[in-house]
Amino acid sequence: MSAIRVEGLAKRFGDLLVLDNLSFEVKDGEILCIVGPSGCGKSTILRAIVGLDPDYEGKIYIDGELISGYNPKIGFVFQEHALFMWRTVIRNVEFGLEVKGVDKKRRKEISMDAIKLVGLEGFENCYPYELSGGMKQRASLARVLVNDPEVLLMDEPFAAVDAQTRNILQEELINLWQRTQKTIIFVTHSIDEATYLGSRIIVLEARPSKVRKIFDNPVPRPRDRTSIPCVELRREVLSVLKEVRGEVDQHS
Amino acid sequence: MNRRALNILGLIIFFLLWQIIPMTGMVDPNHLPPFSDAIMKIPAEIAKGTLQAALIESLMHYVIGFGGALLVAIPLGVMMGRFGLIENLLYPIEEMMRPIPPIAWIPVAIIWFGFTPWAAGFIIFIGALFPTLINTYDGTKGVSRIDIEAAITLGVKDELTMIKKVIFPASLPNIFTGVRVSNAAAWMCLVAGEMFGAGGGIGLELTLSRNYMDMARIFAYMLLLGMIGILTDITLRKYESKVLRWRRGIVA
Ligand SMILES: Nc1ncnc2c1ncn2[C@@H]1O[C@H](COP(=O)(O)OP(=O)(O)O)[C@@H](O)[C@H]1O
Ligand SMILES: [Mg+2]
Repeated sequence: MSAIRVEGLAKRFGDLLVLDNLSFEVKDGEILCIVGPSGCGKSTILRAIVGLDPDYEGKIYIDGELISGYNPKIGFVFQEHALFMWRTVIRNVEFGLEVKGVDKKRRKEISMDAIKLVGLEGFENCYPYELSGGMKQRASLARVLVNDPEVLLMDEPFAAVDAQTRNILQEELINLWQRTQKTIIFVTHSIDEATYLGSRIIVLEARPSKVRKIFDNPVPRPRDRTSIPCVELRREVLSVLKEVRGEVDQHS
Repeated sequence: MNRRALNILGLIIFFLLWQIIPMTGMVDPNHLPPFSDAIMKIPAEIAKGTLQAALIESLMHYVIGFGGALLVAIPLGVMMGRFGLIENLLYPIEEMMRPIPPIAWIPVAIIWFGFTPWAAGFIIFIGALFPTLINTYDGTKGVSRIDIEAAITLGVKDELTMIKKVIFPASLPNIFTGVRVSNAAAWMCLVAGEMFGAGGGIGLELTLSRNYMDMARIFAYMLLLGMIGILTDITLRKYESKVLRWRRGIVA
């Protein structure tokens, strides 16, 4: 069964046609990575799925059910951390529960579990300005996890952290995914990240965006980034991405 | 010498000059009585009971006018920032009323409310209303889109929850700026209104002292006003830095 099905998605901003008749599926429990030239509409796709830009053509289904607007089964992690600066880590994390009207004691319990899960124990009373970039992204993830979504959408969540932290965050995400069995759509511009994380990888074309190629990632986990199959896959994805980028350059 | 010591030195020089210049006869002590004359009036006025009575009257005007202004300005500013209908209806009215110096309302206030605390309260209300209204409105408009979108993806559906949990706390820095400007305006309007006889208070004592040609008494009440001004500002700043602890890293 597919957790998410996108059918004939089209989106324009004024005269700019960003997505045109885009279709793909996300399988239950997989990590689907989306790569593509910058500005091709990756964020636009995620924003349509999560209901932030409900003004699109086409249909999006979750578990076979048509999505319109906000759906509690879907969680979203922004590129910038998007934490509420005026709330401490734990108050950020419990936000979703607060909105749902969960009582205070239960809220604290669930939030602390999520904070532990992302490795932020001991920092729950810090304000966002006191955290490093990686810690902010961990907190953002915990904030989404308390709502227990079935599908996690992540829009270049690790783009703003240094390479070393990034690798650690990727490993942690895999651990979390293996424990929780969540379906994840992960947008990235890093091919290394896509091949390390993805169960499958979608390469998008430039605007108006279409699926250029879908790669299955056969490399067994735990993955070694430097192993031959990993490097092979990276090379293949890169060559497709280069074709796509080449076409962009010819246009402009 | 450190900063604090210089601050104190400056004050000492100021009060010494104030003391010495009238005593040397360089200026007429009937126009500028020495500092000691002014300060000694304070215990004398307390002994008569006049100072306490005036202070209580003024505080009552302050609470009516300033409190009322905040109660109206903050909700109204938030609504103007969030609802286009209210914004478009009220903005021109607000822009037309704001440039009118609040002092110009004194005759109106006295005719509407007579020589009562409500007249003084009304003038203060007008003076304190606009700074908080404008800053709240600006702050509300300036809430970052990403905070609002994060809240939507975490399950906020209705405007009231959005205002309570995102718009209001995110606008608090601006609201506080407005409140402090309003506070200063409130004291100015308070004295002006009371000097015209709207409801008694410290301002009226200034007018009465002029009638008695008692300059030392005028300066005594002016010193009192200065002290109250400092006290309220310090209190507001303390409260502000406590509530806005989360901004430390941002403004620094
Ligand atoms: N709100 C908007 N208004 C107008 N144009 C937009 C808006 N959001 C995105 N775009 C445009 O749509 C295109 C795709 O944007 P986006 O989905 O953010 O790309 P990506 O995430 O792949 O880098 C870009 O050219 C961008 O300028
Ligand atoms: Mg993007």
